Parts: sequence; C-alpha cells; structure tokens
Amino acid sequence: MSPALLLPGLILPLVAAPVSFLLGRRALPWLPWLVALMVAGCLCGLAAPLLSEGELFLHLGNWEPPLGLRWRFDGLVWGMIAATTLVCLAVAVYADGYVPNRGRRGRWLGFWPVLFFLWGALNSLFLAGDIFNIYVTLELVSLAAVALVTLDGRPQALAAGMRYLLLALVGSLCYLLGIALLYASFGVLDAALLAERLQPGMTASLAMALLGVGLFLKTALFPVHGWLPAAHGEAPAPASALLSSLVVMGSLYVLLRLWLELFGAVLTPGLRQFVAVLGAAAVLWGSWLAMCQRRLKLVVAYSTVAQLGYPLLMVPLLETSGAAAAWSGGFYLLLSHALAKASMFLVAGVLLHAQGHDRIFQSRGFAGRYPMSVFAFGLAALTLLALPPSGGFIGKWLLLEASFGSGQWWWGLVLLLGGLLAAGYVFRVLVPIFGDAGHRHLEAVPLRMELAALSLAVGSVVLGLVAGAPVRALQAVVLP
Amino acid sequence: MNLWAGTILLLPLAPLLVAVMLVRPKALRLATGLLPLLPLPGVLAAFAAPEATSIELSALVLGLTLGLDQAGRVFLIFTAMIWCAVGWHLWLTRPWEEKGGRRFLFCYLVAMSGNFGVLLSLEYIAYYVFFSMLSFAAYGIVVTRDDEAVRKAGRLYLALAILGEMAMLGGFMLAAAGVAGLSMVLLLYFGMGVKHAVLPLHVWLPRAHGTAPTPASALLSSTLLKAGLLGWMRFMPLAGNEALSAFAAPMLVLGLGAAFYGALCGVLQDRPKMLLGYSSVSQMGIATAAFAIAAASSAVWEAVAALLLLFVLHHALVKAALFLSTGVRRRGASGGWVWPVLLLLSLALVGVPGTGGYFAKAMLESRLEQWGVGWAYQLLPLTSIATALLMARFLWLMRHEPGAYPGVAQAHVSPAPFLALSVLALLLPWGVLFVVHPQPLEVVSGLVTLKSWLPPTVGMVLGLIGWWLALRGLTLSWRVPPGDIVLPLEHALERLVHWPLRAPRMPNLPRLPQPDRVETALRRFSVLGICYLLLLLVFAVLAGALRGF
Amino acid sequence: MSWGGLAPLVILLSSLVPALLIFFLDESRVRLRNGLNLGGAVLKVSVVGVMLWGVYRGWRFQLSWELLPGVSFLLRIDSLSLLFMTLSAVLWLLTTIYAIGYLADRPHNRRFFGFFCLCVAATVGISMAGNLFTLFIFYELLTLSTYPMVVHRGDNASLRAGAVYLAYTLTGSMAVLAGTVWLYALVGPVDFVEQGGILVAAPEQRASLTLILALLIGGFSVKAALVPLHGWLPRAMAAPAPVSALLHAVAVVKAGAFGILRVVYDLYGAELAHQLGVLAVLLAFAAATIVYGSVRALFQTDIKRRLAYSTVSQVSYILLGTALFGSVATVGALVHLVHQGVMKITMFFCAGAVAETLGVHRVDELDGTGPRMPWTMTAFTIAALAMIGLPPFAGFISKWYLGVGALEAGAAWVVGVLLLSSLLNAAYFLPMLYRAWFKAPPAAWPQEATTPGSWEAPPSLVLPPALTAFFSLAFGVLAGTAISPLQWAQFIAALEYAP
Repeated sequence: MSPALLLPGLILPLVAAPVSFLLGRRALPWLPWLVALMVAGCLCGLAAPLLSEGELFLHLGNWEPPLGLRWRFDGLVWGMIAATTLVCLAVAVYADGYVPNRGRRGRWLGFWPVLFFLWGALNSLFLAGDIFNIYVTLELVSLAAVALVTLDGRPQALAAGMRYLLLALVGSLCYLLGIALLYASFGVLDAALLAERLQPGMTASLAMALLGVGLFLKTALFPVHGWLPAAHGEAPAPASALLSSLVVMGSLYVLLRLWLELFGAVLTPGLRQFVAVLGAAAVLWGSWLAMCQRRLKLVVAYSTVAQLGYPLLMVPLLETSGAAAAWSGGFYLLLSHALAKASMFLVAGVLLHAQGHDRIFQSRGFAGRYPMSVFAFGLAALTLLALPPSGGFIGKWLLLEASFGSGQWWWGLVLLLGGLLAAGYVFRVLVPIFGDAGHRHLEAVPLRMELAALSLAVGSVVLGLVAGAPVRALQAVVLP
Repeated sequence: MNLWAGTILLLPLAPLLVAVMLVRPKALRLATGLLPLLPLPGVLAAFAAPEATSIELSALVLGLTLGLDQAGRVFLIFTAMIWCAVGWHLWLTRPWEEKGGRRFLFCYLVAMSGNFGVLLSLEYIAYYVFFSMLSFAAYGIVVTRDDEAVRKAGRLYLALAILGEMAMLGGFMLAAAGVAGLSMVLLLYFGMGVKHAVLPLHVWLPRAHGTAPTPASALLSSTLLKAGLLGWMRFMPLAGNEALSAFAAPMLVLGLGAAFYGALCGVLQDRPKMLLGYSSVSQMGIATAAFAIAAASSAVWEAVAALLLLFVLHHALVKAALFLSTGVRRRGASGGWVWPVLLLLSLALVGVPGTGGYFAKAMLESRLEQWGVGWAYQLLPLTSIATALLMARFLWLMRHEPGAYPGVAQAHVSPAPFLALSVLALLLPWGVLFVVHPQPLEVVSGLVTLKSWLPPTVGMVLGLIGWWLALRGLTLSWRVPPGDIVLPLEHALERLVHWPLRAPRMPNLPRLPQPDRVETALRRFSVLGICYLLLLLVFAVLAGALRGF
Repeated sequence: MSWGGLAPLVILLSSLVPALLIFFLDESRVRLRNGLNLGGAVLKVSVVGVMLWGVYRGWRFQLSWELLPGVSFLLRIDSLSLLFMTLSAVLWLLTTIYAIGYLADRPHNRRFFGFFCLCVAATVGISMAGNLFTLFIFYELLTLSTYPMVVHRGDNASLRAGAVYLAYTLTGSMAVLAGTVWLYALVGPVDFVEQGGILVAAPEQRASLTLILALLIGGFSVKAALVPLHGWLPRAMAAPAPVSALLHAVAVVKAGAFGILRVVYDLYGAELAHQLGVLAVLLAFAAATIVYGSVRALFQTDIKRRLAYSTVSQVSYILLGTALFGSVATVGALVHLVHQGVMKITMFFCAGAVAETLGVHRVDELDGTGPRMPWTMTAFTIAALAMIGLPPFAGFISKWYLGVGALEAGAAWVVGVLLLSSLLNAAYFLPMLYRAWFKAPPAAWPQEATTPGSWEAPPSLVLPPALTAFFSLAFGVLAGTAISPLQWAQFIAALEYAP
C-alpha cells in the first residue's frame, strides 16, 4: 500500500466539522481528541516514508496533472500540519472551559464546527500542489477566520471582522488576478509544472507582484497590517489564538513557498532586499507598538505583527550560500511562533476569564493566583525573545548564521534588535501582574484552560531541544 | 629541622599564638604577663645560633625563608631586649583594666610578631609579609583613644605607611621581574624610607609620638624605625651597583638635611616625646647619610655596614630608654635614679667621649675620613652639636614637665624596666667592642683625637649656656607644630574634600515616544488602500514588470 | 551514556531538579524546601569533589547532544571549568545556608529558592560548557534566572533595578550571540581547547576574527561590569543580601569574566588573541575600570553600594590579567577569580548580617559594631585587609602575580594602576574598620533584632562568613601548598601557553 494513501486522512477535520455541528454538546470533549489522534496517526505513519523518499505525492482521483489535482507532502508540510494539530487540539480543549459573556453557552457551541473547518482547510492548504487549489483553500481559511472573529457577536468584534473580511477578499482577488495571468501565459495551474514552464518576463513579474501583495494583505505584513490588531484583539481568546498562530502562518507559508519554487528567478535582488526591509520594519514597528499597549491582547496581537516580519528576512538570503539555513530558520521561527503565540493568547483568555478585563496595569496579583498560566506565558515568551532553550532560538540562530555567513549582516542586527524589543514588551507585561491581589476578586478558572496554555508553551520549548532532525528535514527542501 | 631553626620559627609564631589566647577575656592578664618573656629566645638565638641558620617554608605564601645573617643578629639583639623591657613596662601599667585593652594587646602581639619576622626575613616576600603586619599592627598600638588629635595622627601614619608599602611592593615586583635599576632604588628608598623617617616622609613620626602611649612610643622610635633600614641593607643591592651609586649623592644630601632639620624642629618643641621623635628623625638622617656613603662604592659596603649596625644598636637602645623615662615616676622608691641616668643617656646620644655613643660615632667618622668622601664627612661631626642642643632642651622639658601625658597613671610606673634598659644601652656598645674586636684598647686609643672631642664638647657647652639662659627666663617662644611640612598639605586636602562633588547619577531606561497617531492612520481604509497600491507598484517595478515600457 | 557523561549531567540536575520541585511545593513547606536546597548543594559539592579527583587522575568527563545540524550542545570538564565550578559549588552551599537564615519568615521564599537553584544550575553550566554555543545558552539562562532574584522584594527600587539589569545584560547577550553565530559561520563549529580551538586563521579572516573577538569580549564585559557597561551593578544592590553575595561573588560577574577567559584562552588562544590587538583595548578599559570603580566607592555612604563599586573595580583585575600576555599574568587572573569570589562574598555576608541584626545600612552607622558582633566583624576585617592586598592574605597573591606579569609583559604602568587601586581600597575600607573597632557604639542601634541564645546573630548568618574569611586567609598563607588555588591556576596557565 502506498503511503500516500494516508494523506487524505489529514483532512479528516473537514469531516469532523459537520459531525460536531450535528452532535452539538455531545461531541465534546471526545471529538477533538479523536480527530487529533487520527491525524497524528497519519502523520506518524507518513514519517518513515518521508524520511526515505523525501517527498510524497498524491494525485487526487488518480488523475495526473495538469488535468488533475496534485497533493504534495514533504518535511515542511509535515511540520506545518503537526503544528496545526497541536494548536487546534489545545484550543479545542481550552474552549471547552471558556465561556464568553458568562452564560451565552448556546452561541458558543458554534466554535467547534468552525474550528474543525479551519483545521481541515489549513491542512488542505498545506497539502495543495497547484495554485488554484491554494486559492480555494485560502478562501476557506479566511471564511473560517472571519467566523472566528465575529463569533461572540460583540459590536467591536463585528466591526473588526467586517474589516478583515473586506480586506481578505481584496487580497484574494489580487491573488486570483495573479493566477489568471499565470494561467493565461503558461497554461498550467500545477505548481511543479508551472515552475518548469515559467519564464521571467513582464507577465511573470506582474503575476508575482499581484500574488505577493495579495498575500501580504492576508498575512498582515507591514505596512498593510492595520486590520490585524483589531481583529485579533477583539476576537474571543481561543479564536485569537487560532488566528494569530495558524491563519497568518498559512498565508505566509504560501507566500514563501511560491516565491522559492515558482518565482525564484523573477525575484530580483532589489526586490528581495525591499521585502526584507519590510520585514525589518514589521519587526521594529510591531515591537514598538506592542510596548505602548495597555491591554494584554493588543500586546500579543502587535507581537504577532512583529514576529511575522522575521520570516521575510530570509528572502534575500535564499540566493546565497546560507539558503538552507535561512529557509529552515525562518520556518522554524514560524512554527515555534505558532505554538508560543497560541499559548500567549490562551493565557490572555485566562486573564480575561479571571477578572473580566485584560488591562495590564490593573492585573496585580494575577501571577500569585495563576502561576501555571504565568509560567506558560514566560515559556512562550522565550520563543518571542528567541532565548535558549526555545524553538525561537533555533530559528534565530539559523537565520543569524545565514545572515552572517552570506555577508548580509544587517539582517542579523535586525534579529538581535527585535529580540531586545520583545524583551521590552514581554517584561512590561510580566512585571505588573505580580504582587498582591489585595481585595480584588479573581474568578476561578478551569484547570484545562491553564493546562492547554502550558502544554503549548512547553511544546515550543521542546521544539528547541529536539531540533536536529526537523531542521534537517526543512533544509532538505532547499538543498537540491 | 634543628633546634635553632625551630627557635627562629618560634620567634614570630609565639606572639601570634598568644594573640589567639586573647579571645577569652580572662586570659588578658596572663597574656600580658607573657609579654616580657616572649622575646627572650630572640636574645638567645642572636648570640648563640650558628652561622648560617635558616629555615625555608616554601608552602607558605609565595615561599618564605627565615634566618639570621650578620645584620639580622645585631638587630635581633637590641630588638629583643627592647621588647622585653617595654613588655615589662607594659605589665606594670596594667593594660587589661583599661577600655580597649584587649585590642591594644592584640595589636601589640601582632606587631611583635611582625617585628621579629622582619628581622628574620632573608628574602623580600617574607620581609613584605612581616613588614605589613608590623605597620598595621603598629597603628593599633599608637591609636588608643578616639579624639580628633589621635585620629589625625593615626590617619597620617596610616596614609604614609600604606604609600610606603605600595612603593615597596612596586620595588619588589621589579625585583621579581628582574628589572633592576634606578626605579627600583627609588621605590625601595621611599617605601622603606617612610618607616625610616627620611625627609620629607618623616612627618608622621612626631605626631604619632604625641598621641601614643609610652610603650608604643618606645617601640616606634627604636625598633619600628630600624625595620626600614634593615630592608635597605638587605634589598637595595638587588637594584644593581650602578643604580645605587647613582642615587648615593642625593641620599647623602637628604640624610644630612634630615639630621639638621630634625634637630632644629626638635629644639622648638614643647613636649618631650615629640622632641625625642624629631631627635629620631635627626639620628636616622645620620644613618641615611652613612648608608649613602656605603652605597656610593661597593668596596666599602661591608665595613660601613658593620659600623652602621653598631650605631643603630646604640641609638635604638638609648632612644627606647629615653622614651620609657617619660612615663616613669621620678620620685619615690628608686625614682631618684631616673634623673642621673637620663643625663648619662643624653651624653651617650650626643656622643660625648667615654660613652658608647661616642665610640660608635667616632668610628664612623674616622672611617669616613679615611675614605675621603668629599665635604660630607666634615658636616657629620657638627651633628653632635645639634644633638647636644636637642638633648639640653629635652632635659629642660623633663625637669619641668613631670608627666602630663595620656594615661597619667603611667607617671607612677616603677622605673625598673627603664633602668635595666639604660644599663644595657650604656654598656652594650663597649661590650660588643670588647667581645668582637681582637684589640679593643688600641681601637679606643686610636679614636681619641681632637676632631672627635671637639664637637661634643662644644655642644655640651652650648647646652649649658642654654640652660643658664632659660633659668634666667630667656627662652625662645617660636614653636614648630608637630608634622611641620605636612600642615599646608593637610589644609589643602581638607578644602578639596569639602568641594561639592556630585556623583554621576545611575542610569535609567529612556522613555518611549508614542506612535499611536501613525498607527491609527495606518488603520484607515484609505491609507491602507494607498499603501496597498503603492506596495503593488513597488513590487512590480522592482521585479522588472515594467521593463517593457 | 558512559560514566564520563553522567557526572556533568548529575551536576546540572542537582540544581535543576530541586528547582522544579521547589516551584511545586507550597510556600509553607519550609523544612522540605530547605532540605532540597541543602541536599542539592551537598550533592553538587560531592560530585565536584569526585571530579576533582578524577581529573587529577586523567579521567574524561563529557556529554554532547546535537541541537542543530553541525552545532552541538557540549558539556566538558577540564581544569579551568573545575576551578570555576568548585568555587561555585562551595560558595553556593554556603550561600544556601546563609539565605535560609536570612530569609526565614519572609514571603515568597518558594519563588526565591526556585530561581536560586536555577541560577546556580546556569552557573555550573557555564563552567562546564565545552563550546561557545553551550556557553551562550547557559549565559542566557543565567540572565533569566537572576532577574527574578533582583526584583524579589517587589518595591520600586527593585523593579527599576531589574529593568536596568535586563536592558544591560540582554544587550550584552545579543552581542555575544552575534559574535558566536558569526564565528560559526566563518570557521565552523569550534570547541574550547587549551591554547585555542581556532586552529587556522587565514589572513583574510583576520579582520572578521578581530571584530568577532571584540563583540564577544564586549558582550561578556557587560556582565563583568567593565566601565562603561557597569551601570546595572550598583543598582542591583536593591536585592536582598544573599542575592548580592551570590551575584557579586560567584554568579553573574564571574560568569562574564569566565566567558572572556574562555574566549581568549580556549577559543582564540593567547597568541592569536594578542596578535589581533583587541586585548590592548581591553587592558585600557580594565585599568580605567579598576580606578573608576574604586574612586566611586570612596564616595558611597551605603555599605552595599560601596561594596558594589568595589566589585566593579576588583573583577577588572581578572580582565587585566587576561589582557596581558604571559603565563604569570594569566595565573594572576585565574587565581583572582577564586580569591575575589571568596573575599567579596565574605563582605556581603557580613554586611547582610549586620543589617539584619542591628539595622546598620550605612558606613557611618558602623561605629562600635566590632565588639558587638566580633565574629562577623573579624571576618569582615580579614576580607577587607585581603581586598586591600595585604600579605599574607589571598588578595596579595593575585596582586603580586598581576604586577609581576605586567612587568614581564612590558606594561609597567599597570603596576602603577594596581598600586593606586590598593591605595584607594585602603582609603575606603580602612575607615570602615576604624569605625567598627575604634569608635564607641551609639546609644541605640538603628533596628536591633533579638537573637536567641548567646550568639551575636543566628548561626546561619555567622558561620558562612567565618568560613569564607578563613578561606581568604588560608588561600594566602597556604598558597604554596599543592591544593591551593594558586597551584591550580599555575597548572592551568601552563597548559594555555605553548612551551
């Protein structure tokens, strides 16, 4: 039996979505675990064949491209799907204890179907091997994301969700335009075939620009990041976790993958440097803004803006001797960030649950009552600061190695400075929450919420300890 | 390790062991009782130990070597005797009953250990170790009360002592690195010179004498001062003969300057102990001059060194006795002996013919004449006149100031230790001559010349005239405050310290400006849209999409 | 994993495991917490003892784990690591005893002791690091675990001190990281080897190597409190006394100095490092720090601040010795690492004991404390005399070697700096001793605490400084014996220079 047959198992969550909708309350708490176990099982089953063959393909319906759709599966996709599984499982467990608006339980039941839908859409996004399929799955992801933002029905959330929807659509349209151009010029939609047929020229450049900018908007990269803090700040905490860790990761993954595989020749050195400059600007701007926020969720949201700038720094390095290190570093950062950011938003949710608001300077005593959450926040912060022994440190090390090794040392400087700025906003949060709670009333928080946050944070640290094999797998994508 | 090596090791060690005893308050009296006994093995060793007794302790510090050489023996003789006598005197003053007595005894014992260690050190590491011990412990025996004058005197002493130690350390480091030369000579000169009270680093001595109790003063001027000279004799040659002879002339000038300056300042003093302090400065100046002459040419080093040792032995014993006299009673049981003995001691110090001092000085002068070192040797006899005037003034003060010093009780102390020490001071130089030299009587007769008779006699006459004038009520009213040249420096320092010195502030983190307005602008759809389109344009242009145009 | 790899792991775990357990213990389980602390400390000291014996007999201890392709996490015990590790382990045990007594009946001890154990784990990790990558990892861990201890009291001064501390140390760490990555990118993974791990330095790489060395030394200098990067140290005095003792004697400042030692001797090698010229700049800064720190100390009226500036000055002795070429200077640097730790920790212990028992925080409140607390102040006196550099105490040994080393390296002016520093040290320590022993005590102490029993203060506050004061004396007096730090330093220095 071909191992590629296991691949469809990875989009099991799409099936679980209607199941969860139908079963409602009865689907919890076992359905997320079941789905996660099955997906994990598929992943484990695919691990060995992946190591031996390097890349797996599945032609859907047994129809070969360019007629049929192709799914591709390599080390990077494995990592992405694994991260998605972990985060979604943790968030699903967490959301079980999370009750927004204290009692509107019924409406909240809509969370899990959307979660599964998002999960399945993301997995298909990662597996997709042709650019139109990518568009479809991107749309699915955006829809699910908008639903997540507006889930609890508050006016601010609705406004933020609306803005997100509009901008996401604009981005998608741009992306579609790019696809149209490519199809018109080169006649295929399959990514691998397109990579063979693509000629650098006006069309390719224009298509690349359209695709790139569209994805920029969807990923909220500087300077078109304005919608993200509002959206992620107003969404309920578990939703924010999913948005900040997975949704943006999906579009960024697409962007970088396409740029490496399709548009390698089209990206001029000037453009590469410009993109990295935008990334550096994102890091600096996002960190600075994070240091000025008074609400925890906004701090974490701006931190996302900042952290998303790091993978862009790899772009100019992909043409140099440090390409493998840069690629693996950027994506390792992204993966660790996914786990850490989700954890941070979950902790923000604990804070909201405990005291009804997330204003940092009025949260004295939180650390004393909820040491586990604060510990999780601290561990997650390790990734943001890129301090050992976290996954973020590994990613930063690799990017630094690429940057110094290729002579473009200024990107390394941006990385280091970003770490310092991250320390600024992280400790700005950590310090006020210690101390005596006095006579403020703090609600009890279900243990599963704290455990979910903690496990994700621990995951991001574990990523730092077992980085040898994953990094090799990532580097295999770039090395011929 | 044979018996004598063990004795040498015991000499600095025993006082430290007794110091440990002081932890128990009840042991104070016993410890004080042991004080006169501890130095006795030293006397024994100095006379009876075989020629090259030494013991190497390579496991301690950086490797210590203790032993006796010729200079060490002589120093040990008088040092041990003085510590015995002073210990006896101290026992009679009952220090365990006073406040701060334990601290005083502790420092006394450590100073004793340091002193013996210094004498027995054959190489510079051991010397430096024990010298430091001595310097710092001496502070504890000089400073016994907490008032302004004592504090100032102590501060000055300590400041100069530390400066000297640092200079000495620098010199020894140069020796260890093998860098011989003038810098080492200078460093060692000034380093040990602080203790030796050379000009201009002598200023601590009179002040310290003014505030220290009698036993401490006795030790200060006799044994402590000599530690510096021993260091010179043992370690200056490490710098090389060239450097030494280059420095000999300035050293000679400074020594002779000290001899006269010290006498001048001393005559203009009010208190006997400070006068004696200046007298020490003066006598040490003579020693410096002699050392300079020896350093000038290596040929005469051995001979001059031997004479210098004799001079030093004599001076130390006499000075210690003189100091002790300031604290004993002069009436009552055996008090009547004090005054005549004082007279004899003064004559000995002046170098009147017939006394041991005469013998020591005259021999020195005759030898200098023999080697014809320029004009210097002609000045040396004149120092006798200065000393005579000084002693005359001292006797005058002693007649009229029976003992208003810190610790008035000391004036009631029995004069027995003082008398014992005086006997030794007067007789020992002759004893050394008769024991050591093969034909002593001939040496003595050879020394009786006009040149050697005249200055002391003139001095004595001048002194008598001074007394006569003073009895008539004609006295000098000028006075020199103790510390002389350091006073303007102290004034300047005091003014400096009171400058308002603002320390730099400790760093704080900078405050951040707020970027809210820009961010809010970036969020508006219009701005967002423009950014978006601009981005698209830039991407396209940079990717060469518009190359065709 | 062989026996050789077990020992480093055990040493690390002997503080990591108690740390984790302590975090989960309830605040009120005092006995168990103290037991865990002390147990871990004793275990660590024993294993270090075994390793000492083992290394003496030629055994090898090594543990390696590949963290990234080509970059591995390496723990290796050699003679230099043992020097630092023994110092850390023994002083940690004493500080644990002291801290247990000092912080009894105070809140938030669970947090304190948890991070305390982590801090020491990071320190021994630094000493065992076999390459720059591992050193950096533990270096960062040290920053993270010492921050909560600096802000432990939670008042404004502590929080500000913590913020400044983080700003400085994280910036320094970034410099170290930049240097490390650049080095790895330039010459590949390099381990610490005696006489230098960088074997080949091609001419075109020299400029980069110089910059890397400057970056590394600059980054480590922040923790080593080199002027002008020392600003965090006096502020950090807002922390409780056991923290100051640990930070200033063992953990943070020594870690910085140790980092520089490793980089200069075991990464670049003394020859190469001197050829690149960076060490001449370090020499100048170290000399400036020595003088500046002492001058600032003169004007401080708070005891702990004065000791802080004294630390700034004294740690630069180690950097001075490193910056001079020659095995004598290296011996001075290495031996001062140990001596300064022991002397300084004594002084901080005593300052804390006096503050706790009598409420004395300022220098002018020290009058008469000698007879009142004789054992504590005797220890303080011994430590102060040792710091001034008087023989036969330990400080003299290090000064001697540094001075002679300077002369042999042809930098005679350094001797002047050393002597001036001794003078300044005397100028600010001797008045404290005078006040303690020669002045009469005040009518009432600022805040006297009653001590049960006949001791002057609780035994846990008196015994540790007594022991470390004894070490300050013994390391000097017995410097010629085979087991003294001096002999050890000479052994290490001999290995670092080609014959």
